[in-house]
Amino acid sequence: MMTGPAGPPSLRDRVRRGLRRGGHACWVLLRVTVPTFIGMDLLRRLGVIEAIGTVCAPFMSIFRLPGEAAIPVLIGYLVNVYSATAALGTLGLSGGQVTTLGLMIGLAHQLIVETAILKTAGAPAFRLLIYRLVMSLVVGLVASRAFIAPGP
Amino acid sequence: MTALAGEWIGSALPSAGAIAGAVLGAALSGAVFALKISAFLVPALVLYDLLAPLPVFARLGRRLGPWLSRLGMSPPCAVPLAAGLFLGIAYGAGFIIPIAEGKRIGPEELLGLGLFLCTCHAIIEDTLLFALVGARSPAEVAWRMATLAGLRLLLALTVLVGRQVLLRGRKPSPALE
Repeated sequence: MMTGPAGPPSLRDRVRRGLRRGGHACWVLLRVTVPTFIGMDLLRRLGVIEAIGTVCAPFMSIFRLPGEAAIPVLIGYLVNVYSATAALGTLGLSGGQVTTLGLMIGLAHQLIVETAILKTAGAPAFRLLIYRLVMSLVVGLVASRAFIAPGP
Repeated sequence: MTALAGEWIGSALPSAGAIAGAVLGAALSGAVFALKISAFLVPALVLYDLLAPLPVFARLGRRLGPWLSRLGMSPPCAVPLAAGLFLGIAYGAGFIIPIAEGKRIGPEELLGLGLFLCTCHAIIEDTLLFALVGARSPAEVAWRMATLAGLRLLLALTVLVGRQVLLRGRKPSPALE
């Protein structure tokens, strides 16, 4: 990452850096969201989403979430927050459900890349990985009781 | 297997035109979703880069020094901590990875730093992304963002203070002024 010459960066540099980061995020988002929406739409038409939902329903019901919510969680754990958000956007969940999932995925996401970075930094990456997964499930459990009304 | 899948698709999607229409529709709603989120995300990131170098924040950072030590971290942890907290582990990697080289941060502190950052990082971007999904008003976005960010920050502080208590066996001072 670049650190400019001594002294604070100029106003223009700051705006430019922000725009570059924003533009990059925007591009990643677009690149991830469009294929995700197409893929989710296709899978829904094929009945795959429903099948995954049925299989995962018993587990996800622990978190007061529908079975299909397992898809953004798994995508978030393995890929990244962008893809998880995109998948989440296709499910039409309530605000409380999205908040619960946001906490679960916020705690544990992009696990492969981020664990590699932490390992490179010399941190005990494997212990941290376990910590994140456990924390994600525990916080999901607590948050679901706080944010999601009990189902019928 | 293929025949079955073909039949399956065939029953769901009657013609090639319908497939193209569906794909186009999904792509379009995906693009709209991405642009809606970007409309918030880009200004937020520009604002962050615009405000972050202000001297107020440097002063605030120095003021936070004593609190860092209470969480079991020394001053060299401040830069990777701030980078991870605001930029995220992936974007902030440029600040986080070099800490292994200087060896100025011991393994105990490194675990503390890791615990904090794993619990709470990329506090602007990640929380904003989730706050925007399905939100109906800017107020709802703000409220959900505050909830997500606040809870994760609180959790990170609790974990670190709790760890200090376990490590030292001394009474914590969690009362944040």
